[in-house]
Amino acid sequence: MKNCRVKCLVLLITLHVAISIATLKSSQEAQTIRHPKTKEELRLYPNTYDYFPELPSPYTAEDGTEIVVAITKDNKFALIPVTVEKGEPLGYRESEWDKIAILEVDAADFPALAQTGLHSEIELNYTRWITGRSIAEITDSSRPGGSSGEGFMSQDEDIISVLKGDNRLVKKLGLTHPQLAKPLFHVWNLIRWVSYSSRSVGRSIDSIDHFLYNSRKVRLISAGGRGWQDSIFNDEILGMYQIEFCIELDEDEKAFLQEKYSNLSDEQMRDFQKMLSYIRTGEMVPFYIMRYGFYEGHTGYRADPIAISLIFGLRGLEEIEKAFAGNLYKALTEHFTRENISGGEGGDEE
Amino acid sequence: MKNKIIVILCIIILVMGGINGFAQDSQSSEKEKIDQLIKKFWSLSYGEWGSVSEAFREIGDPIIEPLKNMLKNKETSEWSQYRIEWHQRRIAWALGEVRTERAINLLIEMLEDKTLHDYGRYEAAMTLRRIKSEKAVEPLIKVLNDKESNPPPRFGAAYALGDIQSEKAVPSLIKALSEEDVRIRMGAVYGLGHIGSNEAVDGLMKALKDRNGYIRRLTYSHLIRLRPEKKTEFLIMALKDEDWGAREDSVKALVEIGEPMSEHIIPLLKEEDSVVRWEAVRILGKIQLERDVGVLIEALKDSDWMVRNEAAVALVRINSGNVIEPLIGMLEDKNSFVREEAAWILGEMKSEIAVNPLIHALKEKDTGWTAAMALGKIQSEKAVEPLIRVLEEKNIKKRRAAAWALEKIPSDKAVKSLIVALKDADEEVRMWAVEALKRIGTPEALKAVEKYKNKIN
Repeated sequence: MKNCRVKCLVLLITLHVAISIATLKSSQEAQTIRHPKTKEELRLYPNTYDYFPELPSPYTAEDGTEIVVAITKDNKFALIPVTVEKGEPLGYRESEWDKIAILEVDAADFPALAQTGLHSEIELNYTRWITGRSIAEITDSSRPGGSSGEGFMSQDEDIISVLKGDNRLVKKLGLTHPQLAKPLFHVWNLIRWVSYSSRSVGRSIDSIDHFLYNSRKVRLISAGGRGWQDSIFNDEILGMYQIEFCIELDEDEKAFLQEKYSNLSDEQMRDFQKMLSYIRTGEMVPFYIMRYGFYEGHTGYRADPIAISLIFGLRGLEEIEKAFAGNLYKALTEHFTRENISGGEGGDEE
Repeated sequence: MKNKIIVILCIIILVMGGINGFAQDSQSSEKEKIDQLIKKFWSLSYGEWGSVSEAFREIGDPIIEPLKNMLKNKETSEWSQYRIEWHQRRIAWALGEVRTERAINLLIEMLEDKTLHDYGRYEAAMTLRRIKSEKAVEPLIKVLNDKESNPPPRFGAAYALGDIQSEKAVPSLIKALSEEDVRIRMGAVYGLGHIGSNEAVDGLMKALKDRNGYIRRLTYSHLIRLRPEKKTEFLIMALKDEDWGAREDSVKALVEIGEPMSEHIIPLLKEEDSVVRWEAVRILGKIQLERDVGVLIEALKDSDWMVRNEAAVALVRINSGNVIEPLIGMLEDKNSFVREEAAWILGEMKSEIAVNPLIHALKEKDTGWTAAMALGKIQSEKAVEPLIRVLEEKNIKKRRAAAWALEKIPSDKAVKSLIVALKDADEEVRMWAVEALKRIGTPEALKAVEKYKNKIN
């Protein structure tokens, strides 16, 4: 009897997955956008083109569909819809994992973040709990060996200092947290769309070589599972996958860094270039950036706002360097400890 | 007569031939059945093995010889290690379904056969674990003790010995706690935890000193189950452990027990290790007993910020009127961090009684900003004028907090000062001044905001 129930359940789940994929696949095949100039109907991936469709990337079509232009491994062009919107729940782990709250910001704890896209320092100074969890508890579970082996921040960091530190970086870049979360959501949506197109319930992105984003060629290195990870906040965010992507710095950019940071050793310079051009992060991070302005502390899974802004062409390298005036290397490497942060910008006395 | 004998002989020959033929038929149909079952089984994925379990049981002993012959395939050179592993694991699993004496004997042979794949031998151990075969105890102990074997069959043996619950295995399992390989040590803890004798418990006490946090975490859970009379003692030991998981399990269990635990937790607030003090406060904050507010107020003076933060959050959660007076007194504490936490709690509790003391606390150079924020939370009209005066102070933090608070208590009285604040050197003061003026919403306030926005654009 029990066996029979299990079989029925397995059958139902298989049927559900098959129908979902088939439905998505047929809806994928049916989707088109209109070219803004030629008015030509352009079919979205899995359809591909031999020629570049002359669209900016990212591009928002008349109907609001956000598109990213990708280049496949066989050198064809593909238009991939990556719209950041409230959508259907993703459904894996069934009702427990619901990402329709994609655009939600934690306005109860951070009214300024909800209003302006940036934290207010005074609000962060006053914060003693987030989503009902004390900042001590969040910090404890985020450190290495806590709720995840590698941790969401380094041993010497704490949640408020990390939020403050990144808020300052983002402010210096002249950007907001939602602006930085958006390209990461685009990457995540791209992976989803391509995976479903290849009828792979996993996150197979083998067919895509790179995609264009504000004139940058962003190469997707991998997207794979690393086991379920619970959130450090008291929220519904869960994670399973990690994504890795990078850009190639061009020769001018490398020369620029060499000139500005000639004091760095060869090894430091290699690390510096990698920190600017490569990100490996978890799928929870775009949600964390949007909702809390949290990019992870200095761990191997940090999505540094400076790197996001360069990789996705939100800011050019010279522009970024100018914002940090000779301190870019420090800005990328220095941990957000209470000592470093309380002595930073926005000091107490005039 | 002679003819009769010939006829009878012919009949006998025919009958014998028939019987023989029948026997041959039945043998060939059994062989076919075995071949089909093996073919089907080899096509199944791991999760589907259970679907043929009944068929193996039905056939029983006759399938053992073919399975044994298949073990020889390990030499096949074109097979990858991965395929060899799964080939042998399938054989061990199938033998476990047959479960006869002969099947157990072959499983023991597999366990001991060092020419097999490590995980083939491991599967044999795990199958013997499933069968709970007493006969396997000695060979399992032998494999567990065999330092020349790789870890998989050895930790498999430790798990099996645990489930067979043989006390004979205890000395070897205790010895295995000193092994380098973490999986063997983990298996040993499992084994001892399932045997549960006094000697096994002594062994587990040793495992509490293991360098691996996860092993200590497992050990606590076994000890708590095996010695319920010492549950509190073990839970408090786990609470003091370095391992995050062990501490988390302990906090959950202690909170679940609730009120009776409070008396055991309070003494921990005097521990030298700040993590232990923090965990203690965290538990009290989750148990939420009115009678514990006194110790939580004391914890606000702790030297560690995590302890103070947890105590402040706990006091807000308990929300007892009894804390207001002591907290008001703490607004004048010599330590700035105590004054800050006291102001925060009063603000979160929206205590009207605290308004005047908080207004008084606005004067504090270092901590006046927290008093301003708390007044914003309480939203008392009485605070508007004092907050307006703070807008003119030199301290950036205080000016930011005052502008923030004035946004929470929208009042016409603040318009003029907020308009002046639009020229503040600090961007955040200006930002909150804009928000406050927008919220007040008088024509004068809105006009000033518009003018300011036009200017910055």
